[in-house]
Amino acid sequence: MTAAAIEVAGLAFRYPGADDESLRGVDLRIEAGDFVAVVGGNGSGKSTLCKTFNGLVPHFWDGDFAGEVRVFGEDTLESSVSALGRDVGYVAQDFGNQLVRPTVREDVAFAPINFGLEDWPARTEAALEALDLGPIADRFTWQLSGGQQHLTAIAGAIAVAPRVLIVDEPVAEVDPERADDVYRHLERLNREHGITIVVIEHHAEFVARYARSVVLMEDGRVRWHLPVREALGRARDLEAAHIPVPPVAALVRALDPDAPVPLTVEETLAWVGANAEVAPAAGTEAASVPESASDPAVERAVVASVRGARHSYRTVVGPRVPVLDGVDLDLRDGERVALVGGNGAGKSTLLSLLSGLLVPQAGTVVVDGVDTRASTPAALADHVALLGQRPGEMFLTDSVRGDVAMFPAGRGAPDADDLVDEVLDRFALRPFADRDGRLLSGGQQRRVTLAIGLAMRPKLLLLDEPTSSLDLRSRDDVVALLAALADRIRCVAVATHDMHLVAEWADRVVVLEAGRVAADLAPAELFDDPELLRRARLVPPQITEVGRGLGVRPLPLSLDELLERLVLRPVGAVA
Amino acid sequence: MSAVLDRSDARGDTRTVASANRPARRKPRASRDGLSVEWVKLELMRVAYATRGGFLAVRDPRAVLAWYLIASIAPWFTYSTTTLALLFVGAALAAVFARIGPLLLALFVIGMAGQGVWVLAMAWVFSGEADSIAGIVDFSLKVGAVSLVTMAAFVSLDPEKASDALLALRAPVFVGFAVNYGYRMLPVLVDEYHAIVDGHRVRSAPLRSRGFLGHRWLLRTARIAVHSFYPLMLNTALRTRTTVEMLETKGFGHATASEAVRKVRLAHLRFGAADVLLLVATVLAIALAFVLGSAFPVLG
Amino acid sequence: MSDTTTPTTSTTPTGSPRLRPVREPNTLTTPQKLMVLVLSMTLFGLSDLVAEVIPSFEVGPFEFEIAYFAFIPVVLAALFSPIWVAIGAPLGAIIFAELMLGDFSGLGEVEGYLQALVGIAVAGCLVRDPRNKAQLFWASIVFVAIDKVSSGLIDLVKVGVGIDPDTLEESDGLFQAVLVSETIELVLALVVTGILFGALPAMWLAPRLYGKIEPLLGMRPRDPQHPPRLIGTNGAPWWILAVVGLLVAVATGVLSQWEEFLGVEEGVTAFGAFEPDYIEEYGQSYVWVAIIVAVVALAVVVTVVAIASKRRKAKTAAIEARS
Repeated sequence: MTAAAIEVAGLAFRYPGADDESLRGVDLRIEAGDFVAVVGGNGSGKSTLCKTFNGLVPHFWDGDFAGEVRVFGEDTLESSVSALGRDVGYVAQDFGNQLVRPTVREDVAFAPINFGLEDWPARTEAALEALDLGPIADRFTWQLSGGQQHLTAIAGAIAVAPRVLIVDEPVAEVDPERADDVYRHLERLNREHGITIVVIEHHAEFVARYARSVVLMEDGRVRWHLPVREALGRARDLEAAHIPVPPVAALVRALDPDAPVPLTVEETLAWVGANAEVAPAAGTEAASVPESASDPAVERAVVASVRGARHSYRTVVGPRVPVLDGVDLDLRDGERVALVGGNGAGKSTLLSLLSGLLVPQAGTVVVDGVDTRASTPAALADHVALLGQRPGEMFLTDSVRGDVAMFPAGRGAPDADDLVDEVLDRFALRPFADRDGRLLSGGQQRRVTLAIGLAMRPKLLLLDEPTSSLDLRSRDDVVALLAALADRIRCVAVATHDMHLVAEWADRVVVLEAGRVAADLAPAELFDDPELLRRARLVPPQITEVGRGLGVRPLPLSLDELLERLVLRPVGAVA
Repeated sequence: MSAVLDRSDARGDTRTVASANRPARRKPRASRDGLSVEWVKLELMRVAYATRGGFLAVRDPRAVLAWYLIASIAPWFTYSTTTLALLFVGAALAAVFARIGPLLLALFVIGMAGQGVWVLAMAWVFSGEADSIAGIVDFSLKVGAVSLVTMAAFVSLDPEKASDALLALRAPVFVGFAVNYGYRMLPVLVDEYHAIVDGHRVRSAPLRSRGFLGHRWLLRTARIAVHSFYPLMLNTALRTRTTVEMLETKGFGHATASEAVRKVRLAHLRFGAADVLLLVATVLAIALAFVLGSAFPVLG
Repeated sequence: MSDTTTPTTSTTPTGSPRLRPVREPNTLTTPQKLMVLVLSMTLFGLSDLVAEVIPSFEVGPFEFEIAYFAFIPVVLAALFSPIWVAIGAPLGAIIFAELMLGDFSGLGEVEGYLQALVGIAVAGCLVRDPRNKAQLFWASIVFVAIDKVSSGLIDLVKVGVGIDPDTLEESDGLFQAVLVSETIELVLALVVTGILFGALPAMWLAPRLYGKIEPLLGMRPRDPQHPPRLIGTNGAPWWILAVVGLLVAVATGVLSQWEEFLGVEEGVTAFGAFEPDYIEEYGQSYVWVAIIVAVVALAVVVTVVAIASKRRKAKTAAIEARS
């Protein structure tokens, strides 16, 4: 039997001012050298549990506490967060604010210096090296992309060589390709350096690929702690906790409930190739391929048009950095447009230009017949609404109702009250109408921002990363609401890294690359072009990859579309 | 920075209601480089992080602080206009070679000019004589010299150096941290305040008229400035929590109590011959100014 | 995987174990203090930066301006531990607004810092219940009053110290002029900074934040039954600290601004009809008085700090001995 890294017994905790316990009797043992994924729905107590491992609970959080947590045999209640920090590295979900020093190198060196380690320069370099951060070591942390910030935070945690590393949602807000990078780094730390890794993760795909055991949290308790393959086999438990099994696992299960659970696309292809065959497309083609909006035959009214737009930013040091370099784009009536591209491809800037908050340095932007240069952001708000990446900045009043009502009431709309009631009902926000938006869960916050946008009644609605850092259930919720906006809003454009959103919702994809439109096509076409995907740093959904691997044409965008085309071979017919 | 609050309120919102139907008469908006919020923010960052270099930026931070003390106290010990003028010129040269940048220079010149106009007006109103005007000139030279020296010194200290210097001088650890963290958070907070104010301007009730002497506009601006702090306070509380959690996790509490940690952190500081030379040269230059001042008095 | 638990064993059939608070209420851990400090520092610093750039209106010799957003420290001190807000908020103002804009006046900052510190700490202790608007109103007024009255007194002391005994009779006019101008300034400050940008926003803001912002920092909201008391961390009565703080402020103010005062002096020479050759001796005597006051004040500060750190060391030693 190996040594235990973390032992938890009878742990219970209640936050200050809360009525209910967040943890209510947790018993758990994590072996040294394990790679553990903690999963569970919002509010199941996963983050709280992980904060007990390094003593943040109860040393940092005033609350009511019972039970015992031992880290390598040491009782956390008797120790302190600082002392535990030597053994337990912790990377919080909010990675922007956990960087406390101005530059990457200084931030990584911060912990080794604080622990008085005289070889801190060497440790810092080694940590930067391990995560390939050398090229950006002297950059200012607030100018980094989300993915780079997250890697910096992880480097800062491993520089003291902890024995346990806890990472709360390693890939939230990171573009799909970098998400894989982050996990590969974690895997290397686990394998080569023997560091015990604990991650909190919503995406079962990553759990399947990288974790060795899974802890399911439910209602403040540990439901079970199982090896990964066995854990993913318990689809019903996971679904009850709003953690849908990876699409590949769902696919194989739908075909044969007794088959071994596949963890990767390759395993799935091997199993499906051996046990099923592709049926010819039976008249489903017309239904499954969304009408391509770029089809010249369907000429619809233009809602917004961008012509030759260029924009660049100044930086603290050095010359201007061009962000948009001559973009031409028309957004038409009834379209659902996804803007995709790697971090820094210019998606957010393009949204700002369309909303009129910025005007282009060259070229024109016309929205609903108004040239943004000849108007003001306040006046343009009657035509276009931009819902930003951080919901916190959209909540200006102390209640959800106040925020939703702000625009219609401010403009003196005669039906403001009715409108607000209707919008609140439609988004199921009545129960929270009098609460502060910030204090709601991530999924609820997104719903509120969508409600704010709808109550502004724009012709064009722009959203920046509407599904980032949401659990999958909340994400599906947002996708469904977006789909339902079509009757009220003429055109919706979304900047996103979320390829599931692209597959399930969009009917037109605009790929931005280095400030230019690299491609403008339908989702199925995008996922069928590996070269384009690689250049734009995109990773297609698993189902689409399986479909492509099996040669299914047209490419399936959802599990159901793929299932329709697969037929199980009779048992024993395996070649 | 006032652009944060009035970028388009002054002209824009009065037109909000009508603008969709009526062609706007004012100049079209352009993407501006100078004097935009973005520019001011970047300029502050360049100042804060000593990115322009300069003769003080390469020195040991303790030497910079000592230089600042010497240079900022000297003007207070003389009444000679000649000495003060020399010190002012010296301070101006120091500021130029410390590369303080256009923003601080502009703020300084505006401040000096405003002060000069105000003091001259007072002297005129109270029928002042040549003596009081001479006193005013002396005073302005003193304040100006000290201000220039301050800018030269603090433009040359990036937050890491400033907090190291404070630590080396045995200031409480949290003061050093506060300086460092303040610099790091400023761009983020200014951005967020800007975003919230923008949200208010776009979403709240538009202004129908500026009112008598623009009092409606003033009231609305003040109200937005205050109301914006409600979300900002809660958002900042969330940020602060994460930050301090991480500080603890990374052993900051451990570091504050430990002399060994202080040694490790300050091990890279070197007070070299060049630093000594700088201080000696500064003292000599100031002494020379005093000697010249007493040798060639101007205006008594 | 030997540690696998089954669904039934992991839950406690009898419900949660008995929960107990880890600490006494109303005590703060070091990270919590740091959090309050950092929060008040950044918020007040930012607000100061904003206030600096809002244009001021000059009516005659009196500036009609927002000195600072007084509601920020008042609201924070009403919600959190007043002393840590009081330490943090003025520090933020110095770092954000003064250091960065090159407006730093060296030793002169200490005077302003101490005035604000005392004002904020007292204001915070006046608020027993952050939902009570009357308490918030008076807290804002008291904060601005302590800050402005003490700076007015410092100005008067400066004049008093600076006047040559020989010219005492002629300087009556000056005293009166300074008194009148300080009073008008105080009234303006109370109305603009104290009420418009202090009491009114504080009364709007604090009740909205009460119960929302404290849990975000992992703290319990203030209990009206057990408000923070005017007692220092080491049991020293608060008013002594407050008085010492203000005295130190006076001393540093006198020391650092004696020459600035001289400049103002010359601007208002017409009020007092001074002899032109008087400036020399006047300046000299002034320096000496200021230096003596400063030395005494420094001695007081050093003594207080030494005693405090000795006690703290003793306390830490005791804790270490116990553990």
